[in-house]
Amino acid sequence: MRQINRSRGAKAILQTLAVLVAFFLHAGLSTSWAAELAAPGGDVLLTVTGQISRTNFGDVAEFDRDMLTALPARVVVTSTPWTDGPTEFTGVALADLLDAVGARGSVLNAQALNGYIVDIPVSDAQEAGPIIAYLRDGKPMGVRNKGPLWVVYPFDDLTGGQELYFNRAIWQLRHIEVRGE
Amino acid sequence: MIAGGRTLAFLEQGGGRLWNLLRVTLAAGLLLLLWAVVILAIEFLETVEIVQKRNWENPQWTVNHAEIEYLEFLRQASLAQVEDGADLDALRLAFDIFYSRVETLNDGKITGPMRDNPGFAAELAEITDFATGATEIIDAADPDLRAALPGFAARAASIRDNLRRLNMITLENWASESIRRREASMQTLVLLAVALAGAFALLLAVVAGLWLMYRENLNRQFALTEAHDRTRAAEATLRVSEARLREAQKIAKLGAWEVNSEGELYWSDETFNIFGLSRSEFDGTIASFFKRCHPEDIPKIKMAAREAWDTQSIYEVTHRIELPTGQTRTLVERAKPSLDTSGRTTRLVGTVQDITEQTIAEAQLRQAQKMEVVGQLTGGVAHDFNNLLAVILGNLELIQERAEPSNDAAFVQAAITAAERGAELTKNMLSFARQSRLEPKVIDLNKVVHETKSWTSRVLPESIEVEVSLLAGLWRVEVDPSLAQNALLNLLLNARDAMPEGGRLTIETSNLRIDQDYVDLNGEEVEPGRYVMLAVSDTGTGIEARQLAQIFEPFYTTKPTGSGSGLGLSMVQGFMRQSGGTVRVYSELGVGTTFKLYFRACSDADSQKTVPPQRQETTTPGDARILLAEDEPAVLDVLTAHLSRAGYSVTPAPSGDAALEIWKSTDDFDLLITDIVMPGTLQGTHLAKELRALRTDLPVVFLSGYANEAMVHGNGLRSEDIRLMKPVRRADLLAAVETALETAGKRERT
Repeated sequence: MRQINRSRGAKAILQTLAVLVAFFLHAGLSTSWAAELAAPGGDVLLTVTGQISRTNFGDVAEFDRDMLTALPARVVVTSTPWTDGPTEFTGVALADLLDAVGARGSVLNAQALNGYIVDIPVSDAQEAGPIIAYLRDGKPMGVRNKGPLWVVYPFDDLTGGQELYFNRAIWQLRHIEVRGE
Repeated sequence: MIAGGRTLAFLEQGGGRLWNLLRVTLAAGLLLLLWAVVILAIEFLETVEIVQKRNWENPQWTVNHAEIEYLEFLRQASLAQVEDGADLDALRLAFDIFYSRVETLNDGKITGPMRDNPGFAAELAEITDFATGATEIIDAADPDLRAALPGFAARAASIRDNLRRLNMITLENWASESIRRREASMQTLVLLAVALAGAFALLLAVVAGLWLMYRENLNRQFALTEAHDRTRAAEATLRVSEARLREAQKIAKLGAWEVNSEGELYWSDETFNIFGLSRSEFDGTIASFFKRCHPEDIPKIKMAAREAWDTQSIYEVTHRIELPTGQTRTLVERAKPSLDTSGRTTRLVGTVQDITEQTIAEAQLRQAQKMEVVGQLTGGVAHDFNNLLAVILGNLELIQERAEPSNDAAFVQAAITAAERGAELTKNMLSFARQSRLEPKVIDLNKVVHETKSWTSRVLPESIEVEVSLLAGLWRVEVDPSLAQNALLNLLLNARDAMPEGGRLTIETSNLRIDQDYVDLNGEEVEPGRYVMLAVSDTGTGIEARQLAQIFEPFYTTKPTGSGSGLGLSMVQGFMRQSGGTVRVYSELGVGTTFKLYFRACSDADSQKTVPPQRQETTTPGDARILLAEDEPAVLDVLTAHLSRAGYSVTPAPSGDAALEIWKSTDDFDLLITDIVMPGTLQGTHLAKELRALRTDLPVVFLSGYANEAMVHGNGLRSEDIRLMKPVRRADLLAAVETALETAGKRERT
């Protein structure tokens, strides 16, 4: 049941590759998502509601895996209380996602598959902030592996108040509601 | 604030060591506090961490979630069984979510420590087995899954107990760790509290100690200052009182001194002043002290000091000293022996006072009194003298007229007797005037009575019957015979005057013992002992009681003016006191009066002394050459006649100066007879001095109208020199000449 433990070298190469891919994707798609949010083609993994300016299904912005991967990807390598050792997570930066939906609120009300709810301040969504991971160690995550989406903070880089972010690291993420004050 | 400032100042300056101690203690306390704060902070952080961990990271949280998801999974499984057409995706999702929790329990760092717990690991293993095994069924197609559901649900329900136990184990672990943690914290806190309390107590103790020491120091300083002030005040007072004492001593001419058994003397400043010596001139020895004393006074001083030292009585002596300037001063010294604890005399502590002026004043007063007496005496005695002169004159005229040649001898005798009485009277007066020194001899009073009676019988009228009762074996007394006779004569004359109509006069002698009781009864200054009593009683008018107290006063008289001097009884009393005796008088008006003279009897040893036999008048004419100096021509003639008739070759000189002239022309004289008081530059004593400068062994006989001791002393007189009182009887003169020549001759021979 444990994840396959890869060598550090392979992980590093993969990380570099992912960064490069993310860069090119970003360059290529920047104009398209800036104009209009595309409609999801596959299973919807994430819905965003609330104070957002871009939607693709009524008041809701829906994302499938492709839409998420189309957004600039970011890699975070960190250890968590719930995993064994440092783990590589790949996903879209929360800030990028909020840009994509034109979010204007200050608090994100995040909800998990099992109904777990947590508030994430919009102020957390910064350059080096959390990502909405869709890959763990390069592989997509199933529900059994706390997927498919997992809000991951770069815990190891955070100084102080780690515990606070552990709380906000919601896994099996399904929905985000952007709220004002 | 001032106290605080002083405290600090004291700590910084005075209490150097204390200050250091305080600094060290403060540093230690501060370090201890710092340490405590650090420990507390660490403890607090750890506690906070644990609490937070329990909130967000603790395994319980994860386990609880696993159980919740398990229950949801069970619910979905049950729902799926109830409805045939139910969507199985909800079940699959619930399972997946549960699966993800199991995965976390297995992989998560958060449950790592718990997985080391065997019970936890066993329970988790069974749950994991179920979850792993269930994936196959869950992942199967809907019909297969639906078909397998009843068995699958049963199996899922079977791990419920495992999950419950997992939860309990975690809970128990959490509780025990919590307790352990709390206990550890508690222990640390207790230790910390103890350490803090200790530090605080130490600090408090040191501060309190410092404060106490500071206060004590302050008190001591105050006490010291006060004591210092007191001492200074006392010193000032002492200085003032010392200065006063010095001044007082100086004014009073009162010096202080001390002498110890080693003969070491301490003298105060004024004592030095009195002796006219500076401290460097006096070595503090008794010998140096005696060197300053008048040689004649030294025995007296020594005896008095010895007596005071031995009998521990008060020492008082008056003596003269000679100052370095040659001046003679009179001092009175009073001292008290100082005893040690065993009662022995260790030293004499005393004072010395210069009483020279006082002495001189006293002497002057005495002289003035004497002059007064003499003045009054002249009038009083003139009558007696006139009588005597009348007797002498009358007798001499009888002889001159040759009226009764056969009675010439009687006339001569009467004249001589009168002259002798005159001499006696003069002598008595002089004796009184100069408080004459007695010339006591051991005599038998009966003999004095006999002699007096024999020649006084003529003085008493025939109307007075004289009765004499003399005790045979009368004790002997040591008195001046002529003064004793004089006293008796005085009493006889008084008796006569008391009985103008005649009566009986009794003269009586007896032995008497006066004991202490007798003395006390009479309250008189008579020492107990043996006495010889001489009583003269009359059957006269008697004396009134109020007069009795006055009769011994000089010049008190009941007789008509011109008939008596009033000196009689006064002289009697003076004579008796000088002889260590006393006078008593018993009188009754109209019955008579008795005067009793008490003479101290001689001891047996004294009684052995016999009166030196009267020198027999020598008949051998002398052939010595005599230089005679006398200013009174009549006396000079009489003396020259007496000496010439005795065979001596006499050269008379009318003054001292003349005598010296004669000597210078011819110096072959064997003897000088000179009056002491003469007009001219050379007094008798000076003449003797001058001639002795020319011939050292020249014998000298001095003649004097009155013997003034002070005048005689220190004027070149020698102890062997003979002094004769004028008027000089022929026999006495010749005896003196012979003695002087003999002594000189003896000296020549030796």
